[in-house]
Amino acid sequence: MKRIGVRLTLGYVSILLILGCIIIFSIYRVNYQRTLNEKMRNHPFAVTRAIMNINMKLTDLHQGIHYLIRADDRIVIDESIAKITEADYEICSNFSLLSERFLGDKKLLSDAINAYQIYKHTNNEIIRLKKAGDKIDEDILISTEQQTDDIKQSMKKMSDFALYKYEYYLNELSHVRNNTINYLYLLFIIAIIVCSILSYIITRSIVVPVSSLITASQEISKGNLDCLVAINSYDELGQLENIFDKMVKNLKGLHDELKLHSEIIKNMSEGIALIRVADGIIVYSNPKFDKMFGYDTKELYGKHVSILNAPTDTSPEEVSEKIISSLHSKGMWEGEVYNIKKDGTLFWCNASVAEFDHQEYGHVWVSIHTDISKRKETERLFYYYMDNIDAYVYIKDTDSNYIFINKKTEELFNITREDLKIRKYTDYDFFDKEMAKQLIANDLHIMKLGKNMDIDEVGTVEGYQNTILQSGYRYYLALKFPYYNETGNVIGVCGFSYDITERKNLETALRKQEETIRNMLNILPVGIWIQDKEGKITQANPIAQEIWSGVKYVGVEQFGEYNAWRTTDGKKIEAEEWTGARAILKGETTINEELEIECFDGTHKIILCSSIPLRDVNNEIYGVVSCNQDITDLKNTEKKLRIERDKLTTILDIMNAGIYIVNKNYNVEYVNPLLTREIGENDNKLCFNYMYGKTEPCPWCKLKEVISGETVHWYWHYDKLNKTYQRYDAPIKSEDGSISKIAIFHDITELLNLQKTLKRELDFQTAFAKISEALLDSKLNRYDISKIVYEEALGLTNSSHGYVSIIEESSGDNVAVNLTDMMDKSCAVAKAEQTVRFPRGPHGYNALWGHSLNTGEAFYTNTPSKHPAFMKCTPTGHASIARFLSVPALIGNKVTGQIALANPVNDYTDSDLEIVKRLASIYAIALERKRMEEEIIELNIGLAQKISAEIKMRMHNEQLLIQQTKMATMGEMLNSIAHQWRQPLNAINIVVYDIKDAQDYGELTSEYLNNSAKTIVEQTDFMSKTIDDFRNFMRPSKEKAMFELKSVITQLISMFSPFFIKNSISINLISADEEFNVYGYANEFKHVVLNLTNNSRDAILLRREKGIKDIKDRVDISICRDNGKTIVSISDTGAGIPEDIIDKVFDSHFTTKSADKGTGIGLYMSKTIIESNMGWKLTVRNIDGGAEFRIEI
Amino acid sequence: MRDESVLKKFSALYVEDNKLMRDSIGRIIRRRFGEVYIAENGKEGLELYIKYKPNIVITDVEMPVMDGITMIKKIRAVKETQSIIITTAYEDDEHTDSSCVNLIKPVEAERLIDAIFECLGCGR
Repeated sequence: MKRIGVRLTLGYVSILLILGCIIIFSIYRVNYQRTLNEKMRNHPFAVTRAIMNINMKLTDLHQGIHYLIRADDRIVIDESIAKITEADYEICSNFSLLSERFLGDKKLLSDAINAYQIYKHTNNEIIRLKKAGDKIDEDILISTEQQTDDIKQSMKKMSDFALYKYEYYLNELSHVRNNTINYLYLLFIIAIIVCSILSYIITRSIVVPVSSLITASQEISKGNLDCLVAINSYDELGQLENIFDKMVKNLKGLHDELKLHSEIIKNMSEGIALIRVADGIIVYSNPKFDKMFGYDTKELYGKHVSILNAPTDTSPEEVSEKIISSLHSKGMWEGEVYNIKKDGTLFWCNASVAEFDHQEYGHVWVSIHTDISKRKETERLFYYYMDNIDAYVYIKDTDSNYIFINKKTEELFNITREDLKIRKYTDYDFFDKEMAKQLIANDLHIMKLGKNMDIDEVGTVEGYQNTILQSGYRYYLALKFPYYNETGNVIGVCGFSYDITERKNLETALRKQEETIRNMLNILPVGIWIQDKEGKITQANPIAQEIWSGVKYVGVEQFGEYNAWRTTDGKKIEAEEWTGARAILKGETTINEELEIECFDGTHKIILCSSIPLRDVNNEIYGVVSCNQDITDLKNTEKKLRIERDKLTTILDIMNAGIYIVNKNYNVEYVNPLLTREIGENDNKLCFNYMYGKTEPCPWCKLKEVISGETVHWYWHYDKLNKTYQRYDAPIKSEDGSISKIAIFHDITELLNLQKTLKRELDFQTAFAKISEALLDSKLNRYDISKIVYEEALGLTNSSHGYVSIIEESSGDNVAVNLTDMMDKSCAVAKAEQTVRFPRGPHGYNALWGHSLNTGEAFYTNTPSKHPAFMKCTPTGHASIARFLSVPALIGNKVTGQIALANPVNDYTDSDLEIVKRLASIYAIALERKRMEEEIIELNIGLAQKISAEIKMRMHNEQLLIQQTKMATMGEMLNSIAHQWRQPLNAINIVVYDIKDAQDYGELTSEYLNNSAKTIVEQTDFMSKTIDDFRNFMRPSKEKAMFELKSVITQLISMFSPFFIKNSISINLISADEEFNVYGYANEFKHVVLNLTNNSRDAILLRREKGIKDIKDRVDISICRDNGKTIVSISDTGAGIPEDIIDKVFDSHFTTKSADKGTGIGLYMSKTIIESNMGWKLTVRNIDGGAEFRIEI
Repeated sequence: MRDESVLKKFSALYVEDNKLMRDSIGRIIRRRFGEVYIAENGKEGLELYIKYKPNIVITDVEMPVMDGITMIKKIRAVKETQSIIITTAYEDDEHTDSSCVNLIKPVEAERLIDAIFECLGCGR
């Protein structure tokens, strides 16, 4: 339970509840006893009393009756009657009480009442009688007696019952009382036990934590702060424990912190001392403080504070007094004090003193001392340093208030540093408004930029009240820089200002002088350099800068930045080698040293460089003047000239032409190497002597013409070398102005030879062309060819005679059809016939003409008479043979003809033989070709006849094939019709059977019959329509007409689909929902599509035969538009077409199918119909998993 | 003339998609058999078969929804020895199996009845 209150309340309530229960139980038992008492009173007591009353009254009544009976007197009678009535009344009231209270058998009561009523009745009779004065019968008396007994009897019974009841109640009461007492004992015992337990638990839950708290508190009081109370509950005590723990923790924290502080104070760098206010006695000092003042630990305790103050102008006591008074008034004091150590050393301290109430020492001052001797020294040094600088030094804060000025500035401003502490001073206090404004602006600028800055500041002419600047302009060079604090923020500006007025004036004068010199230098046409005493370049005039494309004002050691090379040896000029450097270092004067320089823009120039050292009166060098002259152009021109000259010489030297120069006096002035090589060295010979070794000019000499200014172009054959030169002789001006001749020799000997060869080659080509032409001309025969060869051979060799012959195959005779007219009339060979037969003898051919035929070797001889084969057997009239050349025409080793030539102007040469040999080889080929051609012509005639026969046969076959194809289509058609008819035929059959059957079963009625007849008619109509469809299909289209592709193909599919379905092939039309109208032969188109689809079906079946069956086979006919064309594509899932035959599938008679299945005409016909008849296009290609035929319309 | 009345104690399932044939042949069969169940396609036929287990099944091959071959396969899965008469338009052997008789269309009523007798083994 969380809260103690709740816990206690529950405990108390439980105890109260137990007590309440006991009380309630007691009350209940008492009440029960009371009830029993009540019951006793109500019943047994009341009933007994009533019975007793009744009995008593009955006795009275009975007595009264008796009296009455015996009474005579009226009064007595009346009295008796009253007595009786009264008794009766009493009895009745008691009876009524009984009837109320009696708890026993009601019959007893009613019996008693009845008995009493009877008795009463009797009594009443007696009374009536007595009143009447009648005599009372004795019997009545007896009966009354009797009746009284009855009543009493009844009453007795009732009384017994009441008694019994009484006893019962009494027993019950005593029993209840005993029980109650027993129960109460038990309850009390239980209650006491329960209450004790509850009390114990509650008390314990409170006492345990409290005692642990007490223990903890005791521990803490002993100083043990580590003890914590275990928290066992979350009630008030738990919370208390929690708070307690926190308190302990805090306390521990504080304790540690205190320890730390104590450590800090002991170890801190500031000295701390506590001084009792009451008497100024030191009561505490930390180790640092002791050390600072040179005392031992605690040595200062009890000493007066004034012992620490240094004896200066003011006594230590006075200093103390001053501090104390400040402390009294302000509560604290801070400042620098001059202190004394134990050993007497004086030093500066920064002290801060504050009042403090100490528990132990009462009112104390806490004095914190820091040794600031070093700082003080630095400060002093700073001031000393600053004050001795011959410049105005100052520091301003960010608002440009002066916060430090040095002595010189103090003098300038006529204030002291101390004054700056009294009030703020700005530049407005010292300068005129404009100046001050400018100065402050500069400060702000520097602070903003955070950079150092040199500023020339000009004082004004205006006077100043508190400055020494009374008149005139003053110039200051101010160096200002931002004043940073430790964190790097600008907190002001520092400045040094020098008075440079004097210097400025001097500078101005100098500048003017310089300007004059500069102007002078600027107009000099050469580059002028001025170096100062150290050798540093201080000036360069514009020309100098122009030469170098810039300038570098550098000292001697950096002269290397100027790149230059001596032109004499190409050596780089080192820094100290410069003329200027040498002048300044060695006092050398250099004039016109030629250098190649690399200007700063990278260009190279040639300059002349001169330097002269400048010496003062003491002969000391105080500078150098150097002069640069740009001679690049001059140099370049010179260089170019030389190059040109070299070029010319080189050209002349290397030219593949001879050159020589001859003056008017025939003196050879120049011969180039080529000519020297050819003719030889010229040792100052005259030209004719040099060339020919002659003593006088050559007759063909062109010197005169040339000298007169003519250029002569001529060919010169130089006999000595057997060379022909093409020559140009031209006039050339000599140095002295006279005209010489320059002759250029070009050796064209080779060229001429080449030209000759070329011409012959061309002639040969022409001959070859002519022969080729003749060869192709079917009208010309072998002899025509030989004639052409004969003419060309004569031309090529310049021969005047000759012949070209053919070896006659049959005889082997050499037959020449063409021969020159070289025989006289008397010659045996008839000119008119132009044919001569050289017969072949048994040992070959005869004489010189037959030599080449016999040997198979070509030959020539320029001295025929000396040739071994010469037979001196020329016929009479035959021209004599001066030179002879003969070449056989060979095919392999077989001699087929001959070219024989004779008597050219010059001798035959090897080249003649060569060319004729080449001609002969062509001649041989030509002869062979012609011969073969003739044979072929003969053969061809036979062949043509064979071919025409073959064609006829083939055409016949094709007709047959087409017929076969048609028949096949017809067969297919019949199959279709048969299939289409099968269903209606079957229906008719069944219907007819059904009629009969109906009759057998007695169902046939006229209506039944009518229905059946109607069905049969429907079926026959369908059959008729089918046959019409097929007839239409078979009929060729008469002419081209528009038809719709989709409807045509749909119709086709409906007619032939059974053949596909039968083979489990689905045939589908795929097209957009639109009409595709085309112009053509509709039926023929259908045939083609049927043909192609059949082809597709066959391809599928072929593939299945190969064993590939698990494919949902389909033939798709798709119609689409593509680029304005309509495409009908028939694709299948068949075997596809092997790539090697795909180009042939449309060929006539090409088929891959066995003879019984295909004629090879179907695709050929399809292509013919589509392409020839309709002008469309039919193509085929393999697609993925099949083939596709495309009809492009 | 055989006694066709013996068929009255048998039941038959007739499956045919062509209405004309179904009506005509249906009538002819119905006159002879005790119970005749007629279906338009294989699917209906199979359902009727499973429901009534007829003694004989007469079926066309090419039908929409479920073809005859498929239906026969499923029937055979239920009862392997089921007597079946197939009416087919094709003369090939493709549709032939152990079922009792193949009838080539056009089906003649006489031949059909012969086949029925043959299948049921009632003799002639």
